[in-house]
Amino acid sequence: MENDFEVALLLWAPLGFVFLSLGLQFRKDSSSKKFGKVLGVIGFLLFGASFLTVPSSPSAASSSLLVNILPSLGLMVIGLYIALFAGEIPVKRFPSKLRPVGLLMFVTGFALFEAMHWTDHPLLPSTMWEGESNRFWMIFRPTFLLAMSSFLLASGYLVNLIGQRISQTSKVLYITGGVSSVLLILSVMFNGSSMTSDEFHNSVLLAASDILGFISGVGLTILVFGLTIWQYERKRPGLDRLPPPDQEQLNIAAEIVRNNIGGEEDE
Amino acid sequence: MNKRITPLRLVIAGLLFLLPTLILVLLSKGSVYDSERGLIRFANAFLTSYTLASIFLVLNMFQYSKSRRQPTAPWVSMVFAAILGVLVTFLLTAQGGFLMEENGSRRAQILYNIIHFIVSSLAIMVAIGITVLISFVNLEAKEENKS
Repeated sequence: MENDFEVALLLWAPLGFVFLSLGLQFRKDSSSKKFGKVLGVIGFLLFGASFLTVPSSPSAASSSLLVNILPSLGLMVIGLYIALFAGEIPVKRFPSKLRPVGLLMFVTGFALFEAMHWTDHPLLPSTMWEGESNRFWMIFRPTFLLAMSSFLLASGYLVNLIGQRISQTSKVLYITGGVSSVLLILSVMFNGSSMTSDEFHNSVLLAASDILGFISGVGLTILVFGLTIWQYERKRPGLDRLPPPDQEQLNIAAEIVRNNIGGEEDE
Repeated sequence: MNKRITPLRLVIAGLLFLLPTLILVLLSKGSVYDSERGLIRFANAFLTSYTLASIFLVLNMFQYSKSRRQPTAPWVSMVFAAILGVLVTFLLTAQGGFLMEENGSRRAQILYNIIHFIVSSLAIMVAIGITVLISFVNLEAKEENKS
């Protein structure tokens, strides 16, 4: 019982903080948003440390995975971010000479991520948990590679249809999607350091079930959400049948207009 | 909508999306895939993502209600939708229930589903993020008008 309480306090509550923090970002007032950000950082740090604070919980394996994949994912995302904002775009944030550095960071991050599967070098982040392959690593890598291959290949085709000034983009998307797919195929043919090829093959097909379930579940929720709003909106009277605004509504409108008019006030 | 995006082209894009999965299915020849487990994983992923996304959207519905002079109907409907997800999850994770995987109890299964959802959604979100970033990284500078 005491252990359950510790797990709730040190793993589930911080995870709840992260979700609450995401919810608070939708509030209009900046103090709530700021509070949400602080709460999110605290939640993230406590959850990240939960594999040390409550190692007995089976869910702590996910926290260990998060800490171990953070360097490679960070390198990939930050690298692409730098490469994007160092490019020839109007909202340039970094000097052009940083573009190759950004791309190199992406490649290094991806190589590090893959190296974690293929070798068990002690200097690399570990994919093990309690002496065996981390069960969440067996979910994360197949899902990530499969999702990336699928999205990149489909986007490579779609950007060709809709895009302007992106003649290189389609090619790069196809090539990256192809590399990702080849890595998937290699993983189902050759054993990794902590996972056999058959285990990986089963995991990647289960990941396909996960992705399909995830997309269907979120899709159904969005459909229900849209239908709920549509049902409510269609019952509202049309604009031409609305009564004229009362004094209170006019005052509110005047205040909104006053708050949004720029320039100096008259003395 | 862009005139060049026709239903046929969307089907082709969908097929390209499924191409890696189809290749992996062909390579397996049915030997390694545990189809019953796959169905359970699909159902668990579907129910968990539906329930968690519904709860998240209930919070958004409060914001919507505020902007519409606080009617209760929209968020009550969304709360019902979320409760439905929770109830179905509870029913199907009873001992020996359809959704039970290798976890010992209903509580363990539900908590595992939540963590599983977070890990899977993190993987999918990072993959989508990388796709979007790669798309924009190769944006070319607008050509100057040549006269």
